[in-house]
Amino acid sequence: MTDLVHHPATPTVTPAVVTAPELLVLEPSVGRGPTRRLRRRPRELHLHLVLLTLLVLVAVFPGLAATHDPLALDGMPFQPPSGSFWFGTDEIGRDLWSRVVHGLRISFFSSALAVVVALVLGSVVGIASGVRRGGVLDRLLSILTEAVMAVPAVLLALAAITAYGRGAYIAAVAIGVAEATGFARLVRGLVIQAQTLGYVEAARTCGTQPWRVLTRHVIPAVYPPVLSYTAMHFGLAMLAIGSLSYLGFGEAPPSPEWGVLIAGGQKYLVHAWWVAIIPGVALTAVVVLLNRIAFLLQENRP
Amino acid sequence: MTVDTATATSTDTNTLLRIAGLSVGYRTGEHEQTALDDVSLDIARGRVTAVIGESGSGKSTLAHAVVRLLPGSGTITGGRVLFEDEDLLARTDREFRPLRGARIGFVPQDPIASLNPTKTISAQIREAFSLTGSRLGADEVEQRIVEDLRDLGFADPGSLLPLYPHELSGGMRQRILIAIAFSQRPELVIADEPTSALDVLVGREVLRSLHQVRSKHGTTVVLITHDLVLASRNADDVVVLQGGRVVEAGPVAEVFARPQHAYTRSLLASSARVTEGRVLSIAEAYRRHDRPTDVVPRTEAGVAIELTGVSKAFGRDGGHVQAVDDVTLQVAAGSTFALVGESGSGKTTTSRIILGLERADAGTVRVLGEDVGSLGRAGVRALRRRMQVVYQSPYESLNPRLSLGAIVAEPLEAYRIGSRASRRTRVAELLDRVQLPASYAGRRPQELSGGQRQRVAIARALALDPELVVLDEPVSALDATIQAQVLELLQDLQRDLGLTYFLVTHDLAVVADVAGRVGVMRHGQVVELGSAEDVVLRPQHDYTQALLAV
Repeated sequence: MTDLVHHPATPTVTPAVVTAPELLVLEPSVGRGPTRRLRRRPRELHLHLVLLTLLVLVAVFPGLAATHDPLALDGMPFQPPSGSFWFGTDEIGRDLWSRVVHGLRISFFSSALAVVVALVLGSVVGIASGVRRGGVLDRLLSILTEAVMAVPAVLLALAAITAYGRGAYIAAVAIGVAEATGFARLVRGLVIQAQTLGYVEAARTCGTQPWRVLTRHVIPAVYPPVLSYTAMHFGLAMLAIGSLSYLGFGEAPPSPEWGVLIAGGQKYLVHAWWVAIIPGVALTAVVVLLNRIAFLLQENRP
Repeated sequence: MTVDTATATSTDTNTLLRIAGLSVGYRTGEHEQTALDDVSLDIARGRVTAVIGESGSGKSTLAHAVVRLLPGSGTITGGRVLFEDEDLLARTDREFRPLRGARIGFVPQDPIASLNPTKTISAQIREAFSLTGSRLGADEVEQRIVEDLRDLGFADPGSLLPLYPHELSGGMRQRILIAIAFSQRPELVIADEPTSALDVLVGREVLRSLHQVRSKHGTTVVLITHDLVLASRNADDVVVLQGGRVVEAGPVAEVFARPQHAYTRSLLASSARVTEGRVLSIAEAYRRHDRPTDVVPRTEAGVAIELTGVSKAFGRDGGHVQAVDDVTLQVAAGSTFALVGESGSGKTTTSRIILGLERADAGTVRVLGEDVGSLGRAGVRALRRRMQVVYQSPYESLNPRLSLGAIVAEPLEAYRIGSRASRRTRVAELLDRVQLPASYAGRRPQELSGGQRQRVAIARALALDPELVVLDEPVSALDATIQAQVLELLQDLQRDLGLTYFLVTHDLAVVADVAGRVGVMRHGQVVELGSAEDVVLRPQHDYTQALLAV
């Protein structure tokens, strides 16, 4: 009866150093009444993915959702949310809704860049070191990974900004490089694990070339947990870039980047709460959405 | 069944556990799968009842449903479980908990996964006392633990208690689990395949100690098993399950001697060793069986495999293990050679050396006329084209993401043989060879049963038209009725294609079915080598005799 609950391929991996251990454990649902919950999950995932798609659309075409020019002084300063200014106006009378919408574009694309850099770099390093465990390449890359890990991501980003100038995209690349270490660790562990799978050895003994074993059997087996890890890091990257801008190292005013909006609005928190709170809530909501997607992707792993 | 349920409350005193119309379903995604369908049976007080059935028959589900340890996706959809006339299903989880462990014990299947690796043996047995709210004092608990372990055949229980699970062998761990199950003197103990993860000789010892504690305390035992020999040797009553239904129940002697249901008859027919209600020894079963004959080999060379003084050790200075120790053997082309041994005997390492997956530390390895030790990467690759493998578990050896067509075609693609179209034809031909419809090429492994999956693995091994096939426990993951079919297929293929088989197995019954020559391995050494007939009927070494006595 064990085969009723058989997970033929999903590797359960616990690498020596775990960056996000909760992502890696294949946990059987315990307790009463999980049946309904399990059935609801795929639908919930679909709903969340639809929301994400909408966000991407808005990020790509902010003009569709924005009602005003994000930089134009269209109203009086500090008008509370109303029919014409949905999120109110800021200290010099710019429409906050349009600024948030345009800010999404910057936040979204810069974090996407960070995640892509982290994913690609981390996967390449992880696969290269995991394929021959304990080899020269593995040891070299491990030392390099640990060295980068020792430097906080924000510090690395600050260094990059000092060297190459301000901007969310420069910060994003630096954050991506720092985050790549986590991906490298995860992928390395999964690749080592996947190579012990029965069908990977079977492919090797039937004469398949190492490169093909890797692309055809190992990488597809490794991919699902990495996908979920990526979604989680998307949210983290967004927070990191927001924090940098908030501190004044990322985007600079008048850019509508969310960190800039929060930093600009906090001075007026007492008499015009919306200027800082609304961008803050937007950032939190998007990060929560991405984390929830990461969780659901992990739960629904085949 | 309605009559049964109506009178269920007036159970006669001889019945300890009565299951009436029990149904259990599993939910996977949108599908509801019935695991138990209206199952009714009585477990008599003080007796051993074996619940037998093949994988998917629902026997483990039955055990888990009674002790309420169904996995999250399983739900009881109907029926009653009456323990001492009380309907257990009427209890809430909280009300049920005091029963589990205290009055109903459970011995799980896997002794490796079922003990906590971070706690000592002593702490884990003690936990059974504290969790069930036992009123015994510390001294009494200590005394009982030592007494129980002694009953279970541990000569010096005191020295065992401070150890951690990893310091014990599988058989010892399983006996610890039995000690935990019996520690609260429950009326009923349910043992779910207690020996299937163990070697045969060890499993026999474990069952012997289970019997000892059982008879001492007069406990009722339910033994879940797929092994007919085990059931007929250890049980008083038997319940036969098929596809979630009870097809037959009664005293073992009666059911095995005069099976009423067609399924029970086919189950008994698949086991060469249980005939007319009696268990035959392996030798007796062998005498009744047709002898396998060697075939006309495809290789010109007379010898397919020649190992001379082969040794292989693992680990560095600290944990040095001599996995293979001075092994010398020959396999004639066109014959089947079986290497028999228990886990850790070195049989698998030997087969990996032959396949070029491990390098021998010493000795020469000649396979199909090539000296494997001196071959470079290209040489091994060229040799692999002529020798292929079938692995033990078809659940692990097939990539669940690929279609069967892609799996079978993989070796052809690896060696760039034929065009896309010709490969497709070849796949259809190979599937036909292993008696699967060509339309299966589009399916995925998950849609197939274990036996069908193993056929796919065999088709893949045949794709390159090899001369030698290494069979690594090819049927041990399969049900008995399926085993016979797969072995027959392997024999047909050998005859038609002139194959040489190198069979690695722990099961002498499989050997008796197919092998011409046999080597028995223990602690890395070949302790007995000869024709199957000599080894099975006139074993020389003590160890071979012990294996045959199982």
